[in-house]
Amino acid sequence: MSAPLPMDEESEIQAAELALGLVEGEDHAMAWRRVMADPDFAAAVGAWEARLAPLFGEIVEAAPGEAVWRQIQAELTPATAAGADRGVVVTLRRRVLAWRGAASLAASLAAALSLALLWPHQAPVSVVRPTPGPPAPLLAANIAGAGPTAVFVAVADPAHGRIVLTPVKVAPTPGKALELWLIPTGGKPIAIGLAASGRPIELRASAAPAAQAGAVMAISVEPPGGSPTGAPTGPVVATGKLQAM
Amino acid sequence: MADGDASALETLYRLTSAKLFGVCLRILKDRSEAEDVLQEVYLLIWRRAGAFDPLRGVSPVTWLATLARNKAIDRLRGRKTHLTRPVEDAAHIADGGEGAEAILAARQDEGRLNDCLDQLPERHGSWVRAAFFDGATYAALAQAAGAPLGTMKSWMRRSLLQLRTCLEA
Repeated sequence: MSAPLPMDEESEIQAAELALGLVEGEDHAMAWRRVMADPDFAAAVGAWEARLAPLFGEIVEAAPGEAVWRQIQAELTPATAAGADRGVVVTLRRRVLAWRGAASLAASLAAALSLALLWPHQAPVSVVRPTPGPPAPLLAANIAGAGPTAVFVAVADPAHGRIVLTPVKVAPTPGKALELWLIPTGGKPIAIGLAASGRPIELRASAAPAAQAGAVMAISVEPPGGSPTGAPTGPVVATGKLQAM
Repeated sequence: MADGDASALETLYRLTSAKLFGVCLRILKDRSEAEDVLQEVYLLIWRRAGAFDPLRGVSPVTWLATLARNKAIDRLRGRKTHLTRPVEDAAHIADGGEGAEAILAARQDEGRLNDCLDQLPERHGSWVRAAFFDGATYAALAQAAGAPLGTMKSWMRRSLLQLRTCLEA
C-alpha cells in the first residue's frame, strides 16, 4: 500500500477519537463514513488502533461458556460460507490457524505461539475446547535462563509429534551446540534434538507421551552434534514448564 | 472445503476466544451480552461477506481484538452496526510477523505505550485507558471528571496529539 498523505491535525484527532470510541451519535457516523470514503483516513485510524493495541495485553482472558462454540458451529453451513479459496478466513488461517498439511505445521505452530505470547501478562489459559472430539491441546513453554543466554519459546504438538522452537534471545557459544531436553515430572531428561530456531523437531513416538503439561523443557550446552551420552553433559542454561495453550 | 474452513475456524476459536471474550467482558461487564458479541464476531469472520470491518493494515491479532472491541462498544451503545464495507482483498491484512522478533517488539510496545500514557498530564492517561477498556465516551469522561464537555474534548485532543508525538519519538 502506498504511503498515505500526512493527515492534518484535525483529521489525526478524529482518527484517534474513532479508534478509541470517544465520539457518539452523528459525529461517530460521520467519522465512519469518512473511513469508508477516504483510504488515507482509514489508514490513520488503523495506525491509531495499532498504537493502542498493546493495551490488549492487559486484558485478562476468560473462558466463554461451551454453548457459544456450539451455537457458532450450528451456523457453519455451506450456505453461510462464502466459498472461494480467498478471503479473510484463509488469510487468518495462514497466519493464525493450524493447517492440515505437515509442511505448514511449523508456520501454524509459530503463529499459535505468537498469539499465546503476544499477550504475555497471564499464564496461557487452557481455552474451553469446542465440542465434539477436539485434537489434543498444543502446549507451550517459555524456556528462560538466569543469564542472557538461550531464551527460547517452545510449542509442542504431541498429537502430530512435533516441537517448534523460536529463539527469543540467544547468545551462541562458538564451537558448541544447544540441545533440547524434555524432563517428565519425576523422570530423567529425554533428548529431543538440537535447538534450531523455527525448524520443527520431530518428537519420537517414545518421547511423545512425556510431552504433557507440567513437564519441563530444558536447554543444555553440548559439543557439536549434541550430547554423546544421552544425558546432558554441559550446563543447563534455560528451563521452562510446558503449559496448555 | 467447508469442512476445512470449519475446522480452521474452530482452531481460531480455540486460540483466540479467551482473549476476545475478555475484551468483550471488560466493555460489557455482562457474561451473556459478551457471549452474544463473541458469537457475532466469529460468525462475521466466517461469513466474510456483507457487513465487515475495513482492513486497515493492522496485524491479524490486532484486527481480531479490535473487531471484538468495536462490536462490544456497538452493543454497549445500542447501535446495530457501524461496519458496512465489505472486505475487498484479504491481502491487505498486514503480515504481523509471528516470529520471535514480533513477540519481543510487542513487549517493548506495551512498555513504551504505558510510559507515554504516564507522561500525559495528570489523569489524562487514565481517561485514555477508560475509553479503551471501558468504552467511555467524551460525555462519560466529562461527567466523571465533573468538567464541561467542551473542556474534556480539548484536554483529550491535546493529550492524544501528545501521545502520538511521544510514541513516535
